[in-house]
Amino acid sequence: MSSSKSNKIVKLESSDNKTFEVEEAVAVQSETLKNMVDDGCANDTIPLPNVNGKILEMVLGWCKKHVDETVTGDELNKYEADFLDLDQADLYGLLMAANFLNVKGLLDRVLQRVADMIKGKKPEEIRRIFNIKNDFTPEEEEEIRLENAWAFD
Amino acid sequence: MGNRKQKRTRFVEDRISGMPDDVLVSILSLITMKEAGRTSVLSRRWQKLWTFVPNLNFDGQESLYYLEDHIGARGFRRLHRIARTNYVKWVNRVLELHRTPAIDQFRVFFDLTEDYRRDIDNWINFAMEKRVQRLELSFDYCSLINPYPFPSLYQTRGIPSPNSLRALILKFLNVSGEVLEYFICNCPFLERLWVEGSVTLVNLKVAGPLLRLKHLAISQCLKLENLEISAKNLVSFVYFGPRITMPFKYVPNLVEMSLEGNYFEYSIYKFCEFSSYLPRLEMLVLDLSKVEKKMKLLEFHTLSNLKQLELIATEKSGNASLLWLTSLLKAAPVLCRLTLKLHMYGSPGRRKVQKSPKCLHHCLKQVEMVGFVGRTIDVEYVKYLVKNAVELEKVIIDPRCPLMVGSPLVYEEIEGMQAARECAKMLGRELSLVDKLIVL
Repeated sequence: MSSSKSNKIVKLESSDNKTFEVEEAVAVQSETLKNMVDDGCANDTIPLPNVNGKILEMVLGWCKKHVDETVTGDELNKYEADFLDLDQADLYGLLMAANFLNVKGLLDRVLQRVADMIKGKKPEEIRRIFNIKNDFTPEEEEEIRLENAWAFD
Repeated sequence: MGNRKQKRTRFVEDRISGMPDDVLVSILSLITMKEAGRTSVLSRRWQKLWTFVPNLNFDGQESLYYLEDHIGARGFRRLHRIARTNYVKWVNRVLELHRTPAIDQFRVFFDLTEDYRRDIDNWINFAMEKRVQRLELSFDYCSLINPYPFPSLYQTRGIPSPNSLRALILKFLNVSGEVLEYFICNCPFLERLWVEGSVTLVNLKVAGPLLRLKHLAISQCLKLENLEISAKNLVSFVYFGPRITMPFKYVPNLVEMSLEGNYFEYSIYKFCEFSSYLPRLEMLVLDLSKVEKKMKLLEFHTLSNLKQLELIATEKSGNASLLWLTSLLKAAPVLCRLTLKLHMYGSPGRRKVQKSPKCLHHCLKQVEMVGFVGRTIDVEYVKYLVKNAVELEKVIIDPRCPLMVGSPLVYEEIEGMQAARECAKMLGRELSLVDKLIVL
């Protein structure tokens, strides 16, 4: 029987063919990877075609920080806050990766970050921030505003 | 968020709309319902996403604040009626459009009355059919003029999906003990029950072989006569109300308790009986408004796990003293935090500071006094504590009235507060408290 502190290494490969080796304890912060490990599918390198090297490195950094017992609560809070100070391309990539890899704490934080960008903004502003194209005709849009008048008062 | 350097947050392409539905719905669950509703006009992709948000929180706080600001103004009654009608229309409209088969939370927060009975009955039904986990109907004190009666039909018809309900919060409406008992017995996963302001709650037995209830609060149910609690998983109990017989039959895991209102006046005479039911109690809040002299005569059973004690005391006489609290503190040998919330009325009496009785408290590390006025009564008590709490690390003195803390009025300077602060600082110097003293 293996001891609780397994020194097993998990190998991961990003979409752009970068390989990463991490301890199992770090990798299993991702529910997706944990399931693979539990099912015995983690013996060879696991390919992650929808996560690029830069993002995967970030996610693994997060996971490592969260298993490190020498990190204090305050240090962790600061780390998490700084972590999310990202530019738009990375934020989107991180959201996809955190969702796919199901890293709970990280996903919640990224979702909240995006939610904070929507909070308190008018629809026109939200469209501008995310570059969402308005594919309604003015009449259609007006109709929806009337239909959901309670949201626009 | 304002002070941080913000990276430019303009996306070059619209990548967010390409995210899967569940991710976007998760994001919408983190904003208010109205904000989520507004995303319906962003684009076709976003039009219906908000209808899948499983958290339905109809928070009418803003509207209530607006009404509060206009009480007494001309046309207020009409304004009020319109506000209520709009609120009800809002809920009905959203429920019409809502699409997920299951919801996490259904919360109503507004001052509604029996006039809207049919709508509210429908909402409860909607929530239950959608396997709601947390159902909250929080009306307002004003609703008591004409309170909504919680339907009793579930007792005859049965509760749709009883296994999903985890929390039931009912404030300022009428719900009877029979109905509550029915929910308690038939919802095996119910963990939290909060009932406030129900005048039809007279008898309640909280018991059951499968009872997973962890948090129970019964507040301001002024006609309550009998409460019986036999709940092995109960962790916290809050009671504010009239005098009743001691409710505990079996609460081996009760860790936190708060008792306010007339209840405590009665219970202190039964304290021995009382404390033997609470072996694990760690946190206790007690309203001692009506007690004083009688306390000196009582021996309290030891509460061997009590770590935090909060006492609410009201003193009308200027000559009163807090030293009688010693007998209560003696019963808590591992107490490490003591908070005193003082309401002082009446003119300051003139009496000498009494000599502090000796009663060492070995674990008491933090003492907080809210409502400190700098009269003999509190000065004397601080002296007592400093002398006897040999491990004391922090003394926090807050001159604000306890009722104000936590309300929008907390920053108002009331006459006498500055004088109280000065007195506290002087006291700190006299007792060599140095950096142990914090004056708010």
